[in-house]
Amino acid sequence: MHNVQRAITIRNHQVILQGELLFQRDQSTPNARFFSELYKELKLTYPKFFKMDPLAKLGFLAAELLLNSLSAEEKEEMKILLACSHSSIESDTMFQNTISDESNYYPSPSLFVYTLPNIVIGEIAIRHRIYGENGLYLTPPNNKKSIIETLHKQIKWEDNRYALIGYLDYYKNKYEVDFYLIHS
Amino acid sequence: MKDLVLELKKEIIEVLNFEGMTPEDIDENAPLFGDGLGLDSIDALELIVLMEKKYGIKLADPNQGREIFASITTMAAYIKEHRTK
Amino acid sequence: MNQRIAITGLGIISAIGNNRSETLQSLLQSRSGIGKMQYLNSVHHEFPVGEVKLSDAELKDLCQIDSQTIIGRTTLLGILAVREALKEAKIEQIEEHKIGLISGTTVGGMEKSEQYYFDFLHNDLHNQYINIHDCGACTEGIVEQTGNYCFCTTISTACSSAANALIMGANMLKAGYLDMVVVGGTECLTKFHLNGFNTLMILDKTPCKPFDQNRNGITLGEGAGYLIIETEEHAVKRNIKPICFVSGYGNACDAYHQTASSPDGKGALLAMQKALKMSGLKPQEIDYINAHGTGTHNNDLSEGIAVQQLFTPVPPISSTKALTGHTTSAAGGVEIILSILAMKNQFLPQNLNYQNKIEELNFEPIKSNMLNHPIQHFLKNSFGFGGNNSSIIISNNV
Repeated sequence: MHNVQRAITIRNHQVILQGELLFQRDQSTPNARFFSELYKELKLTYPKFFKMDPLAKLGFLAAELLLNSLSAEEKEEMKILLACSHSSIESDTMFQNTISDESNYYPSPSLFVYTLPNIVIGEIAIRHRIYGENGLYLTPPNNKKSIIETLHKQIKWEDNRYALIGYLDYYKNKYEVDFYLIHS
Repeated sequence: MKDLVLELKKEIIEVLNFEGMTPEDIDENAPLFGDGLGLDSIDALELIVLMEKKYGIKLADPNQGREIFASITTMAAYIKEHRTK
Repeated sequence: MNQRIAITGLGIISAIGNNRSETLQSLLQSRSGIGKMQYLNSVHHEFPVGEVKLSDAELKDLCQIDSQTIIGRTTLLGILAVREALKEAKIEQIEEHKIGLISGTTVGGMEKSEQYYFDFLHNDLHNQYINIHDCGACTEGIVEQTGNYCFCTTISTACSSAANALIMGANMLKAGYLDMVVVGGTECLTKFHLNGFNTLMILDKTPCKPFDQNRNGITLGEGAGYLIIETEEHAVKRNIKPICFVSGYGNACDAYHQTASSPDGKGALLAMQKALKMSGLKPQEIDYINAHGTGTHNNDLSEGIAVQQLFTPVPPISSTKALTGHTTSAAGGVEIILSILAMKNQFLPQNLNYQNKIEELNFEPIKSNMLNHPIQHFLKNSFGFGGNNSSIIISNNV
């Protein structure tokens, strides 16, 4: 893939930015704690982070590390094209749990808003004030490499000089994210 | 009233998933929305659910919630007057 | 080389008709498909809905699928609409073409999962339905019944999914990856998203009233809408006369809130501007706008503000959601097709249930069907949660 300016991978509790190990925790660390510790390590002050679902937290953290060198102006027209496999199943399950017990039936609005996989893009866009094109594609896990290439080919260079593309997934406590910052 | 204020702070931290925040971090007179705690319209709905579940108060109109949820203090005052459980 | 994107086939099913001709009749007569809940097994009968007036068994029958087949309602709706579109575009053997399928859905097979949820937990009676739960499985279900496409994927950007499927399809045609693409979306009603919208307190207990001062929320609907798109050159080579053309599109992020639209409608404005820029048209050349117009306080105000910022004066505009209900992920496909039907029959479709102008806005939507009103170019807005806003411009044959 050409024109990749920066790349980040987070999996197995290891954050690898530009091929270098940046942060890691023991495998036994629960995912939620791993995410909050990474958040603290990055010295962020964005209380909304704590209300996000795991998929959004994952994308948010990866985007934070990938985009921190860009100016507001460079980010404004940026495009975000992402793919995932298990969609928002994690939040779907949590939301379903709030409506499955008849004696304690309270559908949670703040969980419902995360039962859409593309909310992760919304959260990244809100954080970085990115107004460019965005799309979220669903594809089987074994198609990851191919969909990232498709997304790369799909980028139309208009007013934007940058695009964020990649793959992320969160399913049954297993997660992974591969994001690429592409420069025109 | 003081107990209710503390209870509300704990409830809000829990239902809105403010991981790592303590009741002392919330000023009961600061605005819940906008500049203060930074809550949004979805959080307001979550508070409506809380009102019904915990205190038996049914709010049909989300706009009504805006005044009630101005701060922890206004929320506690409303609950004190209208609670059915 | 002529790179215009031609539309050569349409397929639609919704509360106002099971196919294209039924839909046109309803549209001409402003006959709403919204009514009392008949098919969705929910306790919330206080909410009217726009249901497709067929049970799953009847849908299977129409699709000529064995009654024992494990298949969900979203997939069944999709199969019917895709088949209708393929037929019109005279595509008989999928395998003979470099053709892709890009389908939008967000609810996927949820309606079967909620029906069998406790069985999944406690016994193995209905485990086959687990495999058709996800959104991708719905697209694969459509593939199984309609042919062997050389590319297929699913787009899930909530209520703008189908519009984004069209955008992705057009991009792939322009890049030369495919010769033809079936694009659109499908979504059935489920308790899951009805309850979800209800917790957001944005469902109207009366049929929705888009762009009315006293609008009070969404009426949910269901359906599917698919279009066949190909380059004009390819259509000419196949000896197919295009119905109309995709002349511009744009997608932008509102970057404001997970579910609410920004007060200034920035994302909507950017999407419309991008679509206009690509089409090379001026705002005054747009003859009709089919709005996203959900009937929520927030959307209609935000979208209205964006529209009046870009268009002076605002061209005839309507939301057709008071006819079909909000078909969520399918809405972009369904409503582009409704607008194309209006364009081909030279009328402007009414914005049903409208009475009073929104105070903050300077325009009113179309109050009754305006016949003998040619449309050369129309703009379609389709916005989704996540701040995902898309606009598409369709131009008539010249």
